[in-house]
This record gives sequence, C-alpha cells and structure tokens, in this order.
Amino acid sequence: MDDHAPSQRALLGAAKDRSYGLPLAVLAELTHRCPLQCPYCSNPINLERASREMTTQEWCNAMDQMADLGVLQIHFSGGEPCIRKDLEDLVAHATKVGLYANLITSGVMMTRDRMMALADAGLAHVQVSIQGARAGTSDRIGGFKNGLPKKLETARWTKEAGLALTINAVMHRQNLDELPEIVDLAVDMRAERIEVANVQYYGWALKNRQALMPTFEQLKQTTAFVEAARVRLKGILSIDYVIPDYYAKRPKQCMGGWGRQFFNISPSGNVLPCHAAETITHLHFDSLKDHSLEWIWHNSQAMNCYRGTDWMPEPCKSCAFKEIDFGGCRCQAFALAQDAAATDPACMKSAHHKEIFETAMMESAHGTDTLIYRNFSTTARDAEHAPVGLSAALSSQALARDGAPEMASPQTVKGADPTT
Amino acid sequence: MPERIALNETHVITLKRAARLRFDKARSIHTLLAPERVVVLNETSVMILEALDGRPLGQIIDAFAAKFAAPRALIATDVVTMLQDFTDKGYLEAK
Repeated sequence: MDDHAPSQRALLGAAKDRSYGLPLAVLAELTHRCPLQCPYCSNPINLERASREMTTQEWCNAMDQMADLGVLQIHFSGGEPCIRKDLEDLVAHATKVGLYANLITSGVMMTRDRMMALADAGLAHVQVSIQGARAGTSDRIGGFKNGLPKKLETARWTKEAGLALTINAVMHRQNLDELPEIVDLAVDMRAERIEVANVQYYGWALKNRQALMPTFEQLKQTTAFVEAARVRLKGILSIDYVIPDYYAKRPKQCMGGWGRQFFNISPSGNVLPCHAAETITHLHFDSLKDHSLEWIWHNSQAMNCYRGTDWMPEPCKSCAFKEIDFGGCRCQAFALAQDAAATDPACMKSAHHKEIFETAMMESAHGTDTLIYRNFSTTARDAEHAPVGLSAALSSQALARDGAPEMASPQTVKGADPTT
Repeated sequence: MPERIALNETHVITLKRAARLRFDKARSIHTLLAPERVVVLNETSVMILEALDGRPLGQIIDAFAAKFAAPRALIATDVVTMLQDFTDKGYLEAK
C-alpha cells in the first residue's frame, strides 16, 4: 500500500510529459532570527534580516497557493519560528486550507499556553531539537545557556497537548558519544520518533567541518547502536538515521530529486529547491513577491536547472541508479567539485570520492574543536570568507581506504522525503 | 518505559490526533498524513480506518465478515495486520 511504485507515481501526480509532478511538502522558513547559534545551522551564511520577512498576509497568500498546487504538508521552521508573534495565526491558516502543520523548533521560547493555542489552531506535530543529552554539551553546541530544561519542557507540553513529538538530534563528533542518552531522553519524553541526523556539510556546517566531522570509529559504533536500538524500540520509538555522506558509498537521494516533490521558502519569499540551494552561486531564485507559486514551480530557472535526468553528465547519465538517487546533492557537488552538475562526490563513481573520504578521516582525527557560531554578526564578518576547500584541508599524508563502510547512504535528508 | 502494543480483538482503536485522513483533490488519492509521512491509501485501507468508530476491533471484524460474506479468520488477519503495522508506526492509539 505504501513503498510501491504506483503510490509513488500517484503522489507525484499525473505528469506524463514531465520528469516531476506536484510538490508534497514545503519547508517554510518564517525567520532567520534564532536565540541559538548552532555551528551547523542549515540557514544560509547570509542570513535574511527581520525587515525582509514576509508579513502574515503574505504567508497566508502563499499557503493558499500551496494548497491549490497540491502541497500536503507544511513544516514551519526558521531560525526559530516561535519568534514570529503570528505563528498561531499561520498554523490556523494552514489548517483552514488543509495543510498538515508541523513545527520545527529549538523549544527554548515555548510556553505551555502557546503550545495549547497552537494545538487548538490545528498543529499536528512538533519537532524539538536536542544539541546534547548533558547540559554542558547542550549549552556549548547551541551557544545558549540553560536550554536543555526548556527543550524538555516543550517536549512534555507537546505530548500534553496530544500532538506527535519528534526529537531532532543533529549529530557530529562533539556529541555522538551522547547518542544513547539522547535516545533514552526521547523515550522518557514519549516521543514517537527521533531523527538521528548526522550533520550534512553545507553553509555553516562546512565552515565548521573540522570540528564536527565524526571519526570513522564513531560512525561504526553509532550505526551498530542505531541498528540495535531499532530492534529494541520497535513500536515505541521510530528512528530515522542519516549518516554523514563523506563516509558513504552512494549519494543520498537529496530532496527526493531536485524540484521533484519539495521546495523551501526563505523568510523574504524566495522559493528554493532546497534550503542550501543559495550556495550554488549561478542560480536565479524567484520570489513570491514577483510571481505565483505555480509559475515558480514550473518555470523558475533554479527549479528547472537540475530537474529530472537530462542535465546529467557521465557517469551519472548511464548509471542504473540515476532515477533512484537523482545524482545525489547538487550543493555538495558545487562545494566540493566546484561544479553543481558534477557527480556528487559522495558517490563512489565520482573522481573526488576518495579525496572526501580521506578529508573526513583526517579532519575528524586532527581537526580543531573550536566552533564558529552561527549569528548575524558572524554573517557580517565572514560574508567574504570562502568555505574550506578540499585541497586546503588535505595533507600529503595518504590514508588507506581500507575499511570503507558497507552502509547505505541516507535516503532522505530532514524534511526532504515525506513519503513512506 | 512505554511498551509496544500487540493488538487484540478487545482493543478500541482510534486515529491519533497527529494522523489525519485526507482526500487529496490535486492527485485524486486518499492519504493518511502523519509526521514526515504521506501514506497513500487503497480503498481497503480507507474502509478499515473509517470503521474505527469506537467499537472494539472484534465487532469491526464481525461487520466486515458479514458485509463481504468472507471467512472471518481471513478478514481478521488482513485487518489486524494492517492496523498493527499502523500502530507500530505511531498512527493509531489502542485502548
């Protein structure tokens, strides 16, 4: 009933003449303002200021268009979406037009009254991020004092309101050893799901790659832990697991395929194929302030650039997996191979594959533990600062490729593939 | 520590607040919307989920067996298999 090709086709909508169908889910970045400063934030390096954010009415108009276009789920995200005073109104409007509303929050600004109001407005699901199971780790990674107790309270209120709870655990070298405790916390909070999502290296995370990249040993232990926990917690806690793809053999099916079933709206109303797409510097993004959502979905240069398979060079073009992983991640190809149309270096068929594996091994062993925090002042200071290049990060010391992990690369990234 | 629920015919099963049945007009399909999931439902699944009206599971199976004039054991297996799967995935509550 799920998982099968006919339902996949049904979800994409009838589109015989196109390589893509109708969008299923939207990541709505209501704001880039956030009290936390996580060094792997998925927001762009050039954060959008509050003065550029869309108004309540503009967001409601956007949601009307989403519902008409066939969008089924909206993820209210940020920054910290609770900063928006109109969050309840936006959730109520989503409910009114039939969108399934999900809130992705740090949890540090929530109150009990607000949670109940959001539930009354039709909110279905809350995802609370956890930076660490211990107060010290949580404070250090989030760059925010005493956040953990507030997060756990938000998790409790979510269940008290009768909503579904997911714990979002973003994992990296600095906190992977706390994963068993984080899973215990999720069970204690009666969460239905946990996303054990290793950091993906774009934007802020790429800046901090040396401090965040897990060791190969940590990754092996984590994978073994997750596999055992999935058996132990069947029917209690469902675990989504994403590995850092530098250690993978095949690329992730990024966003379920570029411009295929998902898009992202930035605080100012830019429509992006994914939250990291602005890192690809030659793309032109269209705004809801200038065009309808339907026009953008079908006609935007950024949406069409890497849609389907026609854009692919070799070895992707003749690869048997080209309609499974859609060539992996364009942002990663641009960041690591300086060509957004190149084979994702996470794929073992990429000429850069060995190089990124060695980079990961080396940086995880010898990298700094100092974090560059995500905030508006770092944005200003580092606006001209190029991301860490591969060659700069590589030493002449060659690392053996022995023991490359036999594990599947992530099939989804957060929010990317809502289908089962 | 919460425990996995193994369904039996005395259970009263309901959709959780976070699992919502929705007919998708744009694609003309029945869906169950749940956290990070869009489940495409076939007609049988829709019928089973819509039958969750507060009766114990055994009574729902009785009604299906009568309606389709099919062996009760066969119906029971199909219904329980589907509902157990959806319970394990966190879409349903059973009391």
